[in-house]
Amino acid sequence: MAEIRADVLTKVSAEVAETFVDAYYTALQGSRNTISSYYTPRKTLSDGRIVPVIVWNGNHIPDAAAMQKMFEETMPYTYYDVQSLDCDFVNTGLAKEAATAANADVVSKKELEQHSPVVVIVGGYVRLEEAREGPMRGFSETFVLVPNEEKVAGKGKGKEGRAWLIQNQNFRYVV
Amino acid sequence: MTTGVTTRRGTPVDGFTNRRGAIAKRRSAARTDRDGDLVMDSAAKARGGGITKGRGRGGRDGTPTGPGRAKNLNSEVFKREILRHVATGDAVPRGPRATTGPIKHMRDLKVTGYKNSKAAANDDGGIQSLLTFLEKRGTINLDKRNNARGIKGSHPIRIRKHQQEGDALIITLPSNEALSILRLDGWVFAGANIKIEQLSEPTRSPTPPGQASRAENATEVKQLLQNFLSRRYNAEMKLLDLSALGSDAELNTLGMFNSASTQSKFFPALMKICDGLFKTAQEKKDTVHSVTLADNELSSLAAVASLAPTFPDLINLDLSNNKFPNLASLHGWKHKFRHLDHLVLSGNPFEQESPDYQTQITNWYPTLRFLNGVQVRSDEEAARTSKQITKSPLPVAAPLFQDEAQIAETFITNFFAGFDSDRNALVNMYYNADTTFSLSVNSRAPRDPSQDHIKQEWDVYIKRSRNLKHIAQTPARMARKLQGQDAIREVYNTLPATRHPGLISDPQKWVIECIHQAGVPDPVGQLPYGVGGFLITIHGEYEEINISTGQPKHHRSFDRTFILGPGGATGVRIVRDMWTVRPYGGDQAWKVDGQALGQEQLVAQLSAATRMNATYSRQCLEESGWNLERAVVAFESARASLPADAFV
Repeated sequence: MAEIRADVLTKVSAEVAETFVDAYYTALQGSRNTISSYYTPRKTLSDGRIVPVIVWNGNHIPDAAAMQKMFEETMPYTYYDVQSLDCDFVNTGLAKEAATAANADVVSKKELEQHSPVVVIVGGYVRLEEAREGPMRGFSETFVLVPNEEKVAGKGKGKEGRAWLIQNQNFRYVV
Repeated sequence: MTTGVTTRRGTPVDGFTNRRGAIAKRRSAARTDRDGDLVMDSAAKARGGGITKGRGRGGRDGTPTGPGRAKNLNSEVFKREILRHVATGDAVPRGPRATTGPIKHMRDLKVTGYKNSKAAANDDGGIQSLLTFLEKRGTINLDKRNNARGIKGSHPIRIRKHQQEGDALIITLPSNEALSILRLDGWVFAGANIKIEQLSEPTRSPTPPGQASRAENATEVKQLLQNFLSRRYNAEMKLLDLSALGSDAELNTLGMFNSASTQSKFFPALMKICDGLFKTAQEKKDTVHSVTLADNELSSLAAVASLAPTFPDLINLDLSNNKFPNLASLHGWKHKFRHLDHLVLSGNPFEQESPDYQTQITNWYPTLRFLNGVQVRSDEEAARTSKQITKSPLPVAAPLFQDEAQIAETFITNFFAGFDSDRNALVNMYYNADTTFSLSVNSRAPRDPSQDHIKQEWDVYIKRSRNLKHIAQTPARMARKLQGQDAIREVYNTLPATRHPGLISDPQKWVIECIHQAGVPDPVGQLPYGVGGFLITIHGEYEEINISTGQPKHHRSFDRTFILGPGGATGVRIVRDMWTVRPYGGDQAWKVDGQALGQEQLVAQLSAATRMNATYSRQCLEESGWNLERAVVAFESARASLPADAFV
């Protein structure tokens, strides 16, 4: 079975998390019409579970469109400041399998990116209504991101959307 | 306010217990089959089977549907828990100790002479050793006495409260226990004779003859505060008059302001009572429009900070004739009271210091129309911003907890008990060679307003922190992610001892959510895609404990995410453990707004608590004015007469 270099593991997962977090919170702030593009399309997994699972302050939001609608129609202006961030791959089994199938001893960056979900945890504050003076809430958020299967299959034609999509999400105001 | 109803505001939906019922029972470790998966239907062993089984789980909104769940919900423990949470006032005792007898009378004892002991040189002046000594020796006395009266077993004495007053230590404990401690009068403690005497008179203030004596227990204090509130509430004006508290004759009689300790507790206690008087935020909002804190010699908000979370929707606030030195001293309320219409600040020193403060204050409160009686913003403008603010998304809801076969619940119960008491054993139990653990410090996270001034120390955590916002280099990022039992154990042993609040006794201090997570690593490596597991997110708090004194050092909040999968010693193992530590932020943020709960949710909750079917649950709620607490009480009284088909 192919192995993964620890530095590649760290670099790739951090890159995924940092890129995603920058883009996602910016979208919540300024381009809410793109919010649904950050989520995996609603589908039933092989074990019968439905994804994405979006939990916002305990409310189970049925799908990405509902999440976008909530932000577009009911959420006041938000300014997010991410103060803490951490991440890791959830499972690299498929990446190893792909590398082994290609007769490689070491898993490549691309194989990791195409096959391995990443868990991302975020902490910070959000200001409502106004970026500098608005009421402030502390928040904590956990994401599980998965590679965009269509993008992987389409081999980069560029019309399949983002490389990483939210499979599970849990947001809470904590202060 | 004048109704005097003292129902707890919170419905039993905070924290962990709402959907799952009691978690007191420790389950034995889950069984595993030869592949290391949890034993389930063999049909579920297809790719993506794993830790959980596909059927019998809760509905998507967390309502119980599975047969295993219904059985559990009917347990006596669960019913007790529900009742404990919804019971009015103090009708149901909180602690297990109190359940064994009638309410005990508390006694104050005064202990002197310990200042001459060797223990007085300790950091805490020997207080902790003295308390331990008294409890231990007193217990021996009590057990002897009980034995003589035919009561077997040991009944450890616990000193409920202690407070230093000059050279004396005042301890509070139930009268039967106090007698056993009194017998230690004249004993030698660490080389010095100690004197113990009973305080028959209130210690903090001499009570004029004919007046009520100082409150002996919490119930009495509560009653006194309630009386005070009804005296100070003007129903016609919807005004709560908290002005000139220091010169309130009755409060002074009670000794409320005689020592710094009672003074600092008075206002928060009063606010807590206020909170308890209302069933919903709306009711509170409708009842109290205005509060005056005038003439209180306030120079900071520290003593009254709890007003903001208690009455966030105030329309009028009067802070006149206090001693606020500058605008900075009001900063704590800058973003509070989002619906404030009229603020009175006249008669404070900062008026002279910063005469142009009106502009700033007006900016602080976007809906403010009047400052010191002068209009500062037009009606139209205020109405416009007000509309913007009331635009609000979904309310804060109860935790979503989709457990299966109590796997996550058992894990959480064991995990925090183990983390506080025996981390080595915990690592052996739930971590394995593939588990990764990382810690992130967020020292600048928003804090609970009451804790703003407390100094934070992060040294022990910082060198382990993997917060990617601060740790930019790949080698450091690699080094700060720990993998495997040995590496994780080593870090655990360098981190401070902790004490988390009880999951059962303090459910409101936790929010615990759990959903299914697909594709977690297969422990035997046969399924590259992985198997089913859980994604658990927990927010809560803990105290760091000084091991030598047993005293808390720091109060922190935390967020912790676990990915749980099959495998390991117990059949359940942690795949990923990611812990964020931050300054104490309180537990208000996840307090569920009862009013915000939809009828469907209420029906589901009542049904979960009583096992009544949806039709009966709905009818019961309708008859109880959609109040969950009253509905449970109504159910209890009507239970015997309900037909069998009323139940699920």
